[in-house]
Amino acid sequence: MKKYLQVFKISWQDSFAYRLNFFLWRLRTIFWILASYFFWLVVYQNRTTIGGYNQQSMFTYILGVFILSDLILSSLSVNLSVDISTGNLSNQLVKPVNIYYYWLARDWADKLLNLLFSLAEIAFVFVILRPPIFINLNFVSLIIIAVAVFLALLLNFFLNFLVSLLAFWFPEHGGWPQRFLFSILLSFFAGLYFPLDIFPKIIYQIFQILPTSYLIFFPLQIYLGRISSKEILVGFFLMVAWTLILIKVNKIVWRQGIAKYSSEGR
Amino acid sequence: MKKYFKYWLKNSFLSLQSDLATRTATIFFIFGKILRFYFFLIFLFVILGRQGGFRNYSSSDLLTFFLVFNLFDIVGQVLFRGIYWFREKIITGSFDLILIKPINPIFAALTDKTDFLDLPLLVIIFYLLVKQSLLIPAANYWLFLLVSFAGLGLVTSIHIFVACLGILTTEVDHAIWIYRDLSSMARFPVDIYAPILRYFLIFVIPIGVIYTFPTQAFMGILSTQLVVYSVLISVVIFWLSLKLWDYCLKKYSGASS
Repeated sequence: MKKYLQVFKISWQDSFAYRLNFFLWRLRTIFWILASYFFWLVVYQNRTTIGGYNQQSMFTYILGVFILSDLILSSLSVNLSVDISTGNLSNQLVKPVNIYYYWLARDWADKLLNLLFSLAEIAFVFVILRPPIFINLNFVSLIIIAVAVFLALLLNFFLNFLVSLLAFWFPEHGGWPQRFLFSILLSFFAGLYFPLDIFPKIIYQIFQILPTSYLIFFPLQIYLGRISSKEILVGFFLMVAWTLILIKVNKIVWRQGIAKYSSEGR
Repeated sequence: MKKYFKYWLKNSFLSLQSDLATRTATIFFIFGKILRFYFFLIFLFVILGRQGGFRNYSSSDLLTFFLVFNLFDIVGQVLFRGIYWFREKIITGSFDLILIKPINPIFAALTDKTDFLDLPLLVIIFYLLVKQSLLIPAANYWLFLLVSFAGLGLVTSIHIFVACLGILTTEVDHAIWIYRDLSSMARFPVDIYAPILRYFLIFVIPIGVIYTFPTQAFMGILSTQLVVYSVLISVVIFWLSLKLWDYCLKKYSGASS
């Protein structure tokens, strides 16, 4: 456990090594919130609801997307694909560390940093713009959201890890092409553009089967109180099932990938 | 001029060869780019839904703005893809190798790579744009070309500014992404936004001039004053970017080489 805490600490320090880089990266996220805010402000000028979302719930959803995507979707384990394609993975293989715990520690150091800064940025935007936000102070609801977020963190980690492992077979450009395609699919199917239940019911039901809809959309639905207790239970069941499936698939793919790995470039 | 064209052609050919050498990666990229475009189109239709448009613009108008936005976004990326590799050149010192070549270094840095992966999407956008604009009067096309040229000048200037920042601070990646994030506000005409934001996007960071003005010229709704403004601002900012570039070159120390 101690060595993974050390990995966590090093990753944290690493993020601050290039301060201007870090500052501009955070500045980008502020611009992203502002751009979304002003856009949705225009959308709601002529009407009161879109797909059952009034202005307050949509703004809450958008700000929620910002916080949760910074927390859940951010991932340092994307660098695993670079390590595989450059042969740097060999450095990790000779160390007495579990590859999953190693990347999990790095991932969560990054997530903690993201969370702290995104909360500060949200507070800044909130003070400046005062958007209408729905505040959920129900204790039980907040506990359920915390569980959903924790499961989403695990689900995203194994989903990301699997995409990184594809670099064993597609090492071009450090595994970036498949990552690029995955991130575009993820943005849409996780509900980053807009809430998934805006779609017709039949399409929405298909989305609900996919693991991606449980990363951002599902915790926000709980926060907004838009789903029933039964739907929450079904959601949790699917999240656990998807996580277990992904752990199994990851193990199989890792075994096959490592058999193919030739440490090219080292 | 001929030398520069030949240089660009040669570089582009090398980029194409590189893309063809990594076919799976190329397929992933092209598919991803087309998918992203269509996802956003779905988003647009869902948002517009039954409402039919924003402010004075119909759904069809907004679609034209969106297509022209993508057109300019892609042209900027196709031509100036080299900026994404500029940081690497600075921190490794390989920019020195460009400086000793008998070619303008900013031209060489920006056009170092030509992004052919955007071309399939460009064809789709052209097709949709032609379908959208069959009823536009011929005179508007000339105005569109003039304002587009001014917009392209501004896109070039912004890329030069980012390269300058790269020399002074070694930071490029997030700076170019900030520009692209801000640009995304111009997927729709900037005059749908509140007045203060609109002025900011036209007069402070002229994203609106690059992406909104050409479409407005296309539709014949851009005033003469704004046409003149777009040309003037483009010339002034381009001149400023070149001055800053000259200053930065003097500051460049060839670290790591």
